[in-house]
Parts: sequence; structure tokens; C-alpha cells
Amino acid sequence: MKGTWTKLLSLAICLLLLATAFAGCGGGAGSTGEDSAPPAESTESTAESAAAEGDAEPVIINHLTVRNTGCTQTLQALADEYAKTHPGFEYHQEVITDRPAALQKVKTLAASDSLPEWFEIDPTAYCQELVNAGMLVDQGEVLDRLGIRDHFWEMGLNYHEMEGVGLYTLPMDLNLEYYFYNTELYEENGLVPPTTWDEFYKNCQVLQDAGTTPISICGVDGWPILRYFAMMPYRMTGNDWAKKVIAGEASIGDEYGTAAMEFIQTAGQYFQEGWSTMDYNTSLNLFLGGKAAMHHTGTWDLAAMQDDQLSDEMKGKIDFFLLPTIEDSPTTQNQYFGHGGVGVAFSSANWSEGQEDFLKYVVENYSEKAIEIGGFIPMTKAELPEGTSDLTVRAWAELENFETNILTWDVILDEASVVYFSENLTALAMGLMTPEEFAEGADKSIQANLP
Amino acid sequence: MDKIYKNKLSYLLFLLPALLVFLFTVVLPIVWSLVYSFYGWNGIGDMKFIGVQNYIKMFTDDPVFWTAFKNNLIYVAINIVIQLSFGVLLALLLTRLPFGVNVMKTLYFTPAIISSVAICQVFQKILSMEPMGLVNYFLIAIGQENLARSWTADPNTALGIVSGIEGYRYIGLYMIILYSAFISIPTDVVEAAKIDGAHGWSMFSRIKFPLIRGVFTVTLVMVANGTMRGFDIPYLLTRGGPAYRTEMMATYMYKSAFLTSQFGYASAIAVFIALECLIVVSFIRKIYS
Repeated sequence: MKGTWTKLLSLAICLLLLATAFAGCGGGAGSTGEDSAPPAESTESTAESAAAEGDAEPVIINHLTVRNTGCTQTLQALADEYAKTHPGFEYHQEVITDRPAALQKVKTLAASDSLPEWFEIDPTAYCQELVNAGMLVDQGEVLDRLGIRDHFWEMGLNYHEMEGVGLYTLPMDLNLEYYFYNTELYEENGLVPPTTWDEFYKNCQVLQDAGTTPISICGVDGWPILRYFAMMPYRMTGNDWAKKVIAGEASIGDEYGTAAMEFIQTAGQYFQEGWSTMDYNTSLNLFLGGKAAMHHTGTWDLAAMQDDQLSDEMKGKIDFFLLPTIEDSPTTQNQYFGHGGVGVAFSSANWSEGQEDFLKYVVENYSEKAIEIGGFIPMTKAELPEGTSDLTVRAWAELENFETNILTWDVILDEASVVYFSENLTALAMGLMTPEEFAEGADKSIQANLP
Repeated sequence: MDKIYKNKLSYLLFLLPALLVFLFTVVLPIVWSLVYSFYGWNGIGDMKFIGVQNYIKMFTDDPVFWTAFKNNLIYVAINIVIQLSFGVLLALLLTRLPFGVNVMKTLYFTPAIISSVAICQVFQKILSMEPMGLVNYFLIAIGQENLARSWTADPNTALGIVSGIEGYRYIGLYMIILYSAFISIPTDVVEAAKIDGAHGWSMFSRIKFPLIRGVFTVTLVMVANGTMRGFDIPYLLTRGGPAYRTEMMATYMYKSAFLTSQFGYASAIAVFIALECLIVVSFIRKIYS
């Protein structure tokens, strides 16, 4: 009798174990987790079958975003409103603020043909490869066909338009990049906002001597140090040098490259301790918490600089100045980093009329919602309401004066060279590499990866 | 039941499921990587056959590869020393503990089961300079300001710190394995040795350690194999930086695939890692057999 019960119990346990094994096989679209995109097939077949029936298409959009800012809040708010009048519509955001990690996820998904419906990418060489592989929707054609191009600021669309390729990524915000600074730290040290690089570095030295961190920068993401590499050559000769370099016609070791490398070496002395492995949010919070005097960032971070987001000690103590220049520069003070931000690309495998309808709704209602949420400049034309903070009003006002964008190395270089530049400019800034070594490796990388 | 024991085919049948899983999850990806390593591929375009060019580039034209190789050897060496020496020490201490052995085992094993992300976040905050972490706060409090620094961003200390954190994490695991080995030593052998005058270091080096030699070899293989493929702590804590100071073979392989979209080259690195592990493990087994 005992033996029978033992056998029955053993059998029951075995069946239970087998059942759990088969439960794992029941995954797929139904069990989508936070960090996995549902298979493209399920969305496509849903859209196709619904379209065939002539009913309102149930549209499911998974948006892989690198932002957790006013921009994505606006999109979510618009999606929630749209869902009220469109049953079956779903919009989910997956936020990965770590840029390299987000790009790695996009590449992995692209390699396995399972890109999410919307995802974020810069108009880079990799983006062009996705275009060549037919994986992205031609947004230029969509905007014209839907008649919604006029809603956009041209500056944003021009930035995302890839020369000879077309418009495959859409801006969701406009970004002007400034040097935000702590007015209290400046006043305490008797400083005024600089207009030239000499004045800027004099300010840095005064701040450092007073025991304050002059500049806060994120080292881990790679692109911030690439901004510093672009600053001096642009002031010396505009965008010409950068264009020649990526065409393999100029060397990083020439006079402009040498000036850029020396600029990096100087700037590196004034970054915060441990900057090379510091993440984006920590470096921003260092500035917002009053521990660093200056931070070069864009209007996408305006929301975090509003008084209601700051501690009592920091309220009203943030201001900005434009990118400094040099004497006899062929560029003006109104030429600096200003662009259409990270672009949203649309996977062609999942594109549907339902998505086009939602996109039209977003573009037509974006300005109003963006103003309501506040803290960033939308890609669609808008005006600021009464009661907007002085900082935001002045940050937006520069849009009228802005002339030309500085080409940014993280967008124009090939992928392998972006990695080389990010890692080795860090080494250069920390004094672990000589300019000659950097230039040799940089030239080699660019030449090896010419289109 | 006897029939099953006597029938050799039944042994094969029982082993078959596990063998199949092993083939599909370990052997097949390695063979797949080997095939990919002869191609140039960016993940989305066509694959282009390029023969051994990836291997030629890896061995002759890539200083970062050799930096990662060297860093990885240092990482392995530090981890073997930390994990096994502390593992043995703590296991021996545990054998002398009159009570609370299970509590101590649980406490020491806990870091091994906490997620790598959590451990890296904790140590990042403890070791940082801005904002000031515990370690630097303590150093300044005891008057050693010159020692205070951003430990993970300092090129001189980053590799040691990353290795140390990995080592700290798995001490508990090896402590438990070696403790089991120590308590399974027959007590009459130990008693006889005591009568012959063995104690302390002579007891350990002449009696106890030789008797756990087999288990120790296994743990040595586990540490060496695991740290040669070390990825999570170096990648999460420092991303292989600053300036490649903590770049490991696995992190470099990952970056080659997913940052620079060179899947063929990354596959060549993966094949190298697999061969490297095989050689080192064979070498260890040969020494200790």
C-alpha cells in the first residue's frame, strides 16, 4: 500500500515538472515582458486581418526610446488620448536611457528581424544600412502624403535628412545645446559668462582653485566627449574640416585636429573626478545639485532645471551662455550645436495605415501637448504660454537667432571610428595617450572604414 | 531494476537528454561562431566570406585585443588568489566553528546569488569620489586624503578593483564546496595524524590539502574557466574603461559585435576564448593529475 502511494506521488511530481516545462513553450506575443518586443508577425497579421475586414485596425506600437523626458511624456499623453477614441490601439514605451545599450539592443533586434514598431536612432551610417536593407519607412514620403510636413520646424527635418538617402528618422524635439552654469558659484568667484575659450578656461581655473568642480560631463555614453572634440575646429574653420576628415581627405594630425586634441587635453583637467565612468544622470545631477559649476547639455534637459524640480539651494540659480568662440573666427556666436535630437525610426515590417493615422494625430496635436507638459522644444511649431519660466523663455528665444549646426562626430563617423574616438579621447583627456598616438589610430580607423 | 542496471543502453538513454541540451546550447553555438568567424557581417546585410582575415587582424593588427588578453590574465590570476585562498581559509575556519555553521554559510554565499547589476550599483556608490562614497569618506576621516580617488575611474586601480569585486562575490561559493570537502575527510586519518604530531600548517599541508586535492582541482578549473569569460562585473562597473584598462576578452567581443557591428570579428574572438579555456583547463588538469 505504502509503495503504491509512493509511486503515485512520484508520478504526480513528474507530471507537474513536465507541465512547467511545457508552460515555458506557451510564450510569444502573449507573454511580452518589459524588455522584449513582441514578434513582428503578430502585429502585422493583426493589422492585415483587420484591414481585410474593413474594421478599425487594432494597432499596437512598441516604442523603444532612449529618453525619459518631456518628449516621451508628450507621446504617452497623446497615445492615451488617442486610445480613448480608437479601441484596440496600444502604445507601450520601453525606456533605455543608456545610449550604447539602447543601440546594442536595436542592432540585436535588427539582426534577428524583430525590430519594434518605433525605435530611436541617429541619422548615422548604421541607420543608412537599415535603410539599404529596406527595414525603415520613408518618412519623407509619408509626411508629404499625409500633408503634415508644414507642422515641423525645418531645422529638425533638415538635421535628420540624410544626404542622398532621404528622411527616415523623425525629430520629436528640437535641441539647442548650451553651457548651463551655476550663477551662485559664478558670483561667489566674481566671474561673468565667457564669450571666448580663453575666458572660459580662465573661469575654469578660478573655480578649480576655489575647490569647485568646473565642468561636469558624462564619460560612459561616449558622445559628450565627442562634442568637445568638435568645438575648437568648428570655431577655426566651420564644418569644412569635419567633412574632409570623414571623406578621408584630412588627417586628425593636421593643424585643426591638433588644436582639437589640445582642447580636449585642457578640458580634461577641469572635468569632475571619476568622469570617465560616470553615467549621464549622475553627471547631470552633479550639476543640478550644485556640485559642478558648468554642464554642457541641451534643451532636452530643461524640464530637470525648472525650479519645482530643484532643491531649495538651487532654485533660480541656473542660467546658460552660448558656446564660446575664438578671435577672428569665421563662425558667429549663433552657430553652435542645434539639431533635431534623437530620431524616431519606423520599422517597415510593422508599418500600417493605423500607425500613419496615429502619427498624423501626434504631429497635429504635439505642440499643444508639449507646451502643457513643458520643459523642451517640440519639433512642431509652437509658442510658449504665459507663466513659462524665464530660463525656458530665453532658451527658446535663441531659436530665432540660431544659424548653423556643428556636425557632431557621433553622427557623421562610421561606427568603428565612433568607438575608437570615444574610448581614446577619454584616454587623451586623462593624459594616458599622446595626441600623436591618438591621431595615428584615428586616421587608420577612418581610412579602414571609408564608405 | 536489475535489468536497467545491467543494460548499458539504458545508461545512454538516461544521459541522452542532458547530452542533447549540452550539444545544442554549448557545442552548436561554438561551431556556429567558428563558421561566422570566416565571414565579415554587420548583422543586417549579406555575409561576405573573408577566410582567415579576422584571425590575421586579431593576432597582428589589433592592440586592443592584446590589451584585453593581458587584462584578462591579470583578472584570472587575482580571482584565483582571492577566491581560492579565502575560500580555503573560510572553509577551514568553518570546520572549527562550534555552532552557526549554516548561518555563516548562507551569509557568505549571498553575494553569489545577488544580481550583478545590484552589486555593481552598490560598489559604484561605495567607491565613487563625486558624490563621495563610503571608502573615500573613511580615508579622508582617518587623514589619508591622498589615497582618496575615484577608484573605478583611476587607470591604476580600476583593474584591481574590478577583479577584487568579482573575487569577493564568489568566495562564498568556493567556501561551501571546500568546506564539504574538508568535512568529508575521514576523522580517523586526522586523529592518526594528530597522534603523529601533525598540527596547524603541517596538518593542513600534509594531510588535509592532499586529501581534498581532487575537489580543489575542480574549483581551480571553475574559477579559471569562469574568469577567463568574465563579463558582467567589468562591463557593468566600468564598461571596459577607463581607456581599455578593464577591457576583457568577453567585453571586447561583445563590443565588437554590438557597438561596431563586426559580427564576424566578434565570432573570431569568441572562438579564441573557447580555445583559450580548453587549453588552460587541460593544462590545470595535467598539473594536478
